[in-house]
Amino acid sequence: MTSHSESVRWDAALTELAEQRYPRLLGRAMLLCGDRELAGDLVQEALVATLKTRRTFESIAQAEQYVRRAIASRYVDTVRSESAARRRERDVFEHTIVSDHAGAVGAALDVASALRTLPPRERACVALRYLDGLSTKETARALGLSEGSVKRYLSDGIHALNGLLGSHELPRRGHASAGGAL
Amino acid sequence: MSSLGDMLSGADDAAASEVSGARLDDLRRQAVRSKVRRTHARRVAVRSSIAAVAVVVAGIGGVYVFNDGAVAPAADSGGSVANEPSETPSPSPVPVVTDWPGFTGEVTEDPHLPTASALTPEVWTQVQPGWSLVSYRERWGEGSREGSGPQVVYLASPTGELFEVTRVDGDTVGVMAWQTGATTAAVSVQPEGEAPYMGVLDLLTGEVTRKGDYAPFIWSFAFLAADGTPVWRGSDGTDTYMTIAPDGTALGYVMPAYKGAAEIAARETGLEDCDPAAAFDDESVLVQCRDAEGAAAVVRVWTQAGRAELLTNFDARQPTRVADAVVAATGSVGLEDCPTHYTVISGREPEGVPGWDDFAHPLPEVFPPFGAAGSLFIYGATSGCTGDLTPLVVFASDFATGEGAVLVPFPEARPEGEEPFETVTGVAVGR
Repeated sequence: MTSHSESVRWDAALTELAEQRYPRLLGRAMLLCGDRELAGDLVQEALVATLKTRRTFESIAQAEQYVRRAIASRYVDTVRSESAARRRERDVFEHTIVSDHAGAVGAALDVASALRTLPPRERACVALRYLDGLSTKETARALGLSEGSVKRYLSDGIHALNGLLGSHELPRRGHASAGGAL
Repeated sequence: MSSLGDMLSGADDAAASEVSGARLDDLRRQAVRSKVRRTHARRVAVRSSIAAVAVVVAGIGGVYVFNDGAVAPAADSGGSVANEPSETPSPSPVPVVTDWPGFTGEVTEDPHLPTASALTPEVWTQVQPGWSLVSYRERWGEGSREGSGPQVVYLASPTGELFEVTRVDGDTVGVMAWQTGATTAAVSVQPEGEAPYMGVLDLLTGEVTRKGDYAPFIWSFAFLAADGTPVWRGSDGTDTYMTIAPDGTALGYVMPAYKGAAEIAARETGLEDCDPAAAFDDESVLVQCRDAEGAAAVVRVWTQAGRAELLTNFDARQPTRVADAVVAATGSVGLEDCPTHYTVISGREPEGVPGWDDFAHPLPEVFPPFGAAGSLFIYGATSGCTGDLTPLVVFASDFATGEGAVLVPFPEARPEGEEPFETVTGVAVGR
């Protein structure tokens, strides 16, 4: 267990997250929303939401984990509150980006493309559960959803991904879990 | 064959690799740091204020009773009923001066103040309803690096010129109400380490006279009344509505024809949670509805006719009226209630309030409106949200001309550690 003296102040965490950890955070946001500019906004908002809730963290890894959850939460909230017109506009933009890059970057981006065909809540649930290793309960809490809804989104999302990618098995519970519950 | 989990992890890694050289740029980093610092500092201030109020409760046996930091009518008044008027005294006459009253005409030069001009007799003769009184004091930093600048009250024209009215030494004040041409204004006063109270500011001398032991700035903004005056809601759970007179008197506010409006709106929208939000002169009422799943709507209800008009089917906060239009804070981001702009929702298509597109600043999160006068709508933007609202920029939108203006600009860049988390402490739209 990390001692109090080894805790990381929020401003030091910001420096680390803004430098060394930023590509992973931005990449995660891009995986969710498909747009680099919007991804930058999501990361910025997630940093604020995370750092203003506490002054210290047990570790940088814990702070990063919290930011990743906040990215998913912000993404769902943003989509939830957008008008239908703006949502349609972004969907068109997303499809453009996907088709431009899919052939060039290969299989990894095909998975990203498939992920972005999922509705936003399914997408966020899959990311938190299977990339960050959260339980359904933790995922529900992070996204402000009921646990039953999360289970439904996960089931639908994985079913759709299997169909798109030709996979047949449920993914293992994911990697990169760090820190406790928010 | 790879598992789906491995494939997703690979996509996550690939996305990070695609932006491997990316760093959070300076503007974004400064915005994050400023918001976080402000929130941390604000929490300390709120805790101090609550503690101070608790001390004062024991000493008050008169007209007002503090309850969880809010103001309510005295206990022997029979209690407070939602939307019923509170028992408050009639406002005292406010002396209105039309001749040049003799302001000093000085301008305080300081890097922590906005650019302003001297208040002259020529300017004074042009002041009319829609000009705003603005109290300004920058606070920045955290802990040992915390500091504050001089406190100045300005007159802001609807087109964005600032004129210095007076310096105020000592405790931080926030202007609450002002009548055009008057040389006094109602202000909330926040003494360091003590309970806040209502006062009357002499605009000629900068001196504050205590008005009463209540502190309306800890109430929450509810909506604008039909004349554009802010209506405040007590935070004691009674839904007592009040307005502040220019002499500092708290007046009960009764929303006309609200009874039955929520039920009609609920039937119209199918949403469960409906609350009246503002009233029109024709006794129609704006009602905001939402449900647990995040669905939301704003409805205008004519109660007596049993008629309802759906204005939005998207998330819109604080619907309020400006002239004949209905505006609402929209573009909110999630559960933390951070609306990003004001939208006219009563037109054929939703569109931003006049001039909004010109209002570019780094931190666009709108603040509850300060007021309206005729065709003018005065509101602010802040760098934070989630209960720590402090406006950093003040805007005016003119529905008659279709144009807007920045009344108080975003603070210019400061040295490291001096990013302001508070600048505008109050705005009163003259009427």
